[in-house]
Amino acid sequence: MARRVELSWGLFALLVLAILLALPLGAGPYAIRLAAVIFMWAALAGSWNLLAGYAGAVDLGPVVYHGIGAFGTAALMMRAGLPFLVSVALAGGVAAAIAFVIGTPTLRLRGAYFAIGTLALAESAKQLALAWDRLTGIPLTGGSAGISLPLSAGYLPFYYLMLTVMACVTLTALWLERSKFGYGLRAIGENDRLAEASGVDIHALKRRVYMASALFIAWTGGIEGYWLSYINAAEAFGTAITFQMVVMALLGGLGTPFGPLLGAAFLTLASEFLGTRFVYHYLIGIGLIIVIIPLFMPAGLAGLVRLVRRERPLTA
Amino acid sequence: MDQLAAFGQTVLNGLLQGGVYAAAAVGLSLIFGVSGILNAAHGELVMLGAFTTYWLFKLHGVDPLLTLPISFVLLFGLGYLLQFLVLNRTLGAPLLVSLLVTFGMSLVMVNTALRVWSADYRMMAVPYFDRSVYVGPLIVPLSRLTAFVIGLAMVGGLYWLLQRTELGRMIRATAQDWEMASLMGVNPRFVYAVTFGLGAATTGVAGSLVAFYTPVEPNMGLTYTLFAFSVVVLGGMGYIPGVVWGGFALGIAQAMTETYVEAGLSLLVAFFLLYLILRFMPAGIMGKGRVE
Repeated sequence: MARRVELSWGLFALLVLAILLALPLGAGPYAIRLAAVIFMWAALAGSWNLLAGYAGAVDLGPVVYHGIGAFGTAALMMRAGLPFLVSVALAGGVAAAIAFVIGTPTLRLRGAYFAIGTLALAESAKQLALAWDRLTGIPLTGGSAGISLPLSAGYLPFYYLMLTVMACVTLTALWLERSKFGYGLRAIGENDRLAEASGVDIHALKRRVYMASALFIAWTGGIEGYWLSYINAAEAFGTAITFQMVVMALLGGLGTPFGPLLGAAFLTLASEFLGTRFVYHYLIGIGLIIVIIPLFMPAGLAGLVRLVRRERPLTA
Repeated sequence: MDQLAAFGQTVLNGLLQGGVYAAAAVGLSLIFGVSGILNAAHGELVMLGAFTTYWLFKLHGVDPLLTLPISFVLLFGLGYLLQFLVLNRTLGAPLLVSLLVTFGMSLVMVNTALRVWSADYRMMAVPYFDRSVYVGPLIVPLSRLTAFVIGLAMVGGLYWLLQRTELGRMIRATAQDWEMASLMGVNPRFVYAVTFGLGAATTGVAGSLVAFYTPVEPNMGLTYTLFAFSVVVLGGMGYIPGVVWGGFALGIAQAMTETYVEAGLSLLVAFFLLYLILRFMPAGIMGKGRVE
């Protein structure tokens, strides 16, 4: 039973992927741009979900790697003259290396302490990025004015790039669903002390998944920066991005491989059609959703899908 | 001598700011210590308190000092209802749940405030607050001194209430072991609601105090949420008197950075200090906080 369900999910995912790859043949520029934005948020929310959904660690500072990715890519392109794709890839590597250094002490914090500590790190990183040029004399972030990147070619490459990162994140989550590594992570999420006593190297496991999510987030940030061709530190390191990632992952279903995509699609479409005309009403509505979902629908939209398919509901 | 005076003025500015930080953070510490809720909407309570004072002064000409009890009562009611109707449902759930629910509340509060009051910065002009007291070479603005004294008195009052009254005993008993407390005839849901009410009320009054000397605007909350987290962590989580030391430490560290390093870095210093304490002194600078 379980295997058949997995198989049908896998086939379904492949089918969806094939449709998404071919989508630009049939859909217009507006739909493709919108889809790329959805993939971008799905990649970000999905990366957050890797750590929070599986290892139970609530990271409130993932945006650090978004900013590092964006400014790292820009610096490598404009200062070192590297091609865009090479710059993005390298910036991801830099972010993962920084995640190793930051994660080693930070991941030892537990529960609320980890959440507050990562939030403090993200705000420190933002302030540092804003003051970087004045402090070091090395032009990198452009202070509060931000920096402009060379204009990019079209929107289609970004559609495929965002799709690729999103697919990488989803595949990682699917792998966590059934690998020994993933079982270890979920054991940490349920009870880290017990997991450690049972022989799970909790610090190594958490650090690896933290680095992976930093890598994906940095890629997304780098791609986004070049796509928009303008970045500034206050936004690229802003808490708003963190909160949106958290909300989308939660709305879609925490600890599920496809939940973040559902959440990203729902919120992006809602903001596209309601958010531009009724900004404050829209945000008030989102706030109410965030209050209601964890109380009455803890498994998110993915839980709703499960309910319709009459499977066992996911317990939080 | 000039340098010494500048140093003294810096420390004094830090202390004055720190007293208000302590007042703004004590509610967060109380709520976390009793209900285990990390209130992400904390700064928004500061914002609501500040607006209460601003509008009462602006529209009805109420003396700012007289708005403090009104701010207290309004925010107590709001806090009580939020806990009783919504947050009591998160009891026993993982930390993430209460963090997200309160974050949702903060979005509702900020955007309702933006919709109703717009994003304008508003500053009260109170004639008798424009004066300053001169102590030797040091300048003490009257508005800040008033805020400092009232803020610390409020922290002391809350501590007295917790230690010396029947209600305080009920709150402390529930914080230690809510099952045992309920066997002794305490209704934990009521206690949690009163606790959140008290936390919100003190935070609202702190917001009113902030409005004495800084502009008020709907987006001011997030900074205060982060400051309150810093103060609580510096002082030790769940240890109420710690907020005074935490507030002073944060205020002085910020004032020192502004005077001797660079004004733009004061937030960086504040948050990095928070991170270091959390990582290496999790029980706070006094070593009396709860360690997880």
